[in-house]
Amino acid sequence: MGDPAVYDPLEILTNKGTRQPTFLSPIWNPMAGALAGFGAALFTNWGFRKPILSGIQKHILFTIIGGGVGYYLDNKRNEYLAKRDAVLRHYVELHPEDFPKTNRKKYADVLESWVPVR
Amino acid sequence: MTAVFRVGLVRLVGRGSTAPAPATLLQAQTNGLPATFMQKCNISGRTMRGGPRCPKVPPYPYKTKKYNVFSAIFDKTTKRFDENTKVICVEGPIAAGKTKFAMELAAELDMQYYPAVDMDLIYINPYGYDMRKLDPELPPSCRSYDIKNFCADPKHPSAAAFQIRMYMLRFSQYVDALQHILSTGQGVVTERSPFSDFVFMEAMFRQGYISRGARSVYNDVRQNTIGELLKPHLVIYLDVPVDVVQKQIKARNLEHEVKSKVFSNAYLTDLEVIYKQQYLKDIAGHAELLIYDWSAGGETEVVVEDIERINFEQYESDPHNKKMIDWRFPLETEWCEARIKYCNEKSDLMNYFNVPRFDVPELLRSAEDGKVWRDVWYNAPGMKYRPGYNADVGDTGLLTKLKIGINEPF
Repeated sequence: MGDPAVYDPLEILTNKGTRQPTFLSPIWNPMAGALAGFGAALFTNWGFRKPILSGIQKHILFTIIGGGVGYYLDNKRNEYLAKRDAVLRHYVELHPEDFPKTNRKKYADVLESWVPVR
Repeated sequence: MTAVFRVGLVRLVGRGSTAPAPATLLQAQTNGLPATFMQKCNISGRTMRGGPRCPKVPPYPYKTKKYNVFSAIFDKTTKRFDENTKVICVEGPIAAGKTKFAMELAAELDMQYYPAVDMDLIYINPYGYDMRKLDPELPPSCRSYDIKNFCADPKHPSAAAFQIRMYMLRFSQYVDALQHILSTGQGVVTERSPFSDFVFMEAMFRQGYISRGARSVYNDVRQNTIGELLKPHLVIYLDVPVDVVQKQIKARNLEHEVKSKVFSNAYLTDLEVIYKQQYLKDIAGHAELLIYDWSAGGETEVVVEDIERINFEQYESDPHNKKMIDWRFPLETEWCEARIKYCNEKSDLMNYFNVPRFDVPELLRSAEDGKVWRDVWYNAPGMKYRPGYNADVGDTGLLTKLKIGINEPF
């Protein structure tokens, strides 16, 4: 934790372990995948003119496959984001002169006072 | 002395000594074989053979097992064929005695008999429910129209759709017959065929039962589909003159036929003329043709003897000869491809009936009528889902059921 009034690029890219994941964020993608798998099984049955829930083992299989695909994609995405942050971090570490610490500005410092002229 | 040796050498190393059956007399002579060595394999009846047919290879269970590209690697097609692997179509006017004859013929030749099609194939659903009971709930353009309706009211607007459906059913049944012959090697005997269906359409058109536009649509549909089939090997025409046909109809005494005005002299004459001058003339270019005067009935044995004398192999040596050309596949893979087409891709063949013609009003139904029809038709007993999946007519075990039949209507 640095001075909040100073922007440190390295610190922004560091996982400080303070962010709690929400309840939905880790399960959202597997759940969406499972739901899509189940929906695909229903659609298949409709397309073949069967009652939509007949052949329930197929629905279970499709749901598991869909959930697995969602879980896999979720992990893939997390890995991608972690790698991207690591690459940026490494770059910042190699070129500290390009990323100086800057003072934090407020809008009050940036914006000029508004003087209406009519 | 040299001559003796030469003849002996020719006999030993000539082509005829390895090939079991020289195809032609000419070939037999060039190979130095006496003509008596020539083998002929013609169709043989049960009596001549002295017993039932013994298949070389057990038939493929094509009704329960798919036959696709992968099956074709392991299960070849021509190994099941023998001299009786032929398609025979029995043709003739109404009430000529085709059914009895075709059944006897099939029994004698050990072939599979395919009965004449009728609209029951459409109107009786897989659970035995008669869809014609729905008529009161349907708009007039969507009501059932079968042969009885045609006999009673041939000028009804549905007559054209009726004839197109008859063609469709004949086509479908002929595909089934081809499935059978290619999968089992057993010959088939069909009663009428999709090839002769246009005879009825043409006669109906000449009598004013269907319009010129409907005839044009029929011809478009026919042109789009008929080339997919393999033409028969043999067509047997039972010739009965018009007056005898009318007598036979009276003797058969089917209520709708006897009371009907359809079977007039003019209609039956048209049928006969078109049958003989167009159909028989045309099909004789491909198939062998036997014509019998059947006005007083006839003996099936006599016909079988005539069939046994036909040499179906005589056109094999000339690949350009149009006779039997549909049945000449040079490679085994081509036989297998044809078998895949009929056994596994029947729905694709039936899709060729979707000819987009929207210019004939009696073949169209309005969107409102179509909606009513759809709602009524697909809520009838056993129609909600595909066959085998209807709990309302007693199908059970649906929760875990996955199996669907091969080529079943759906």
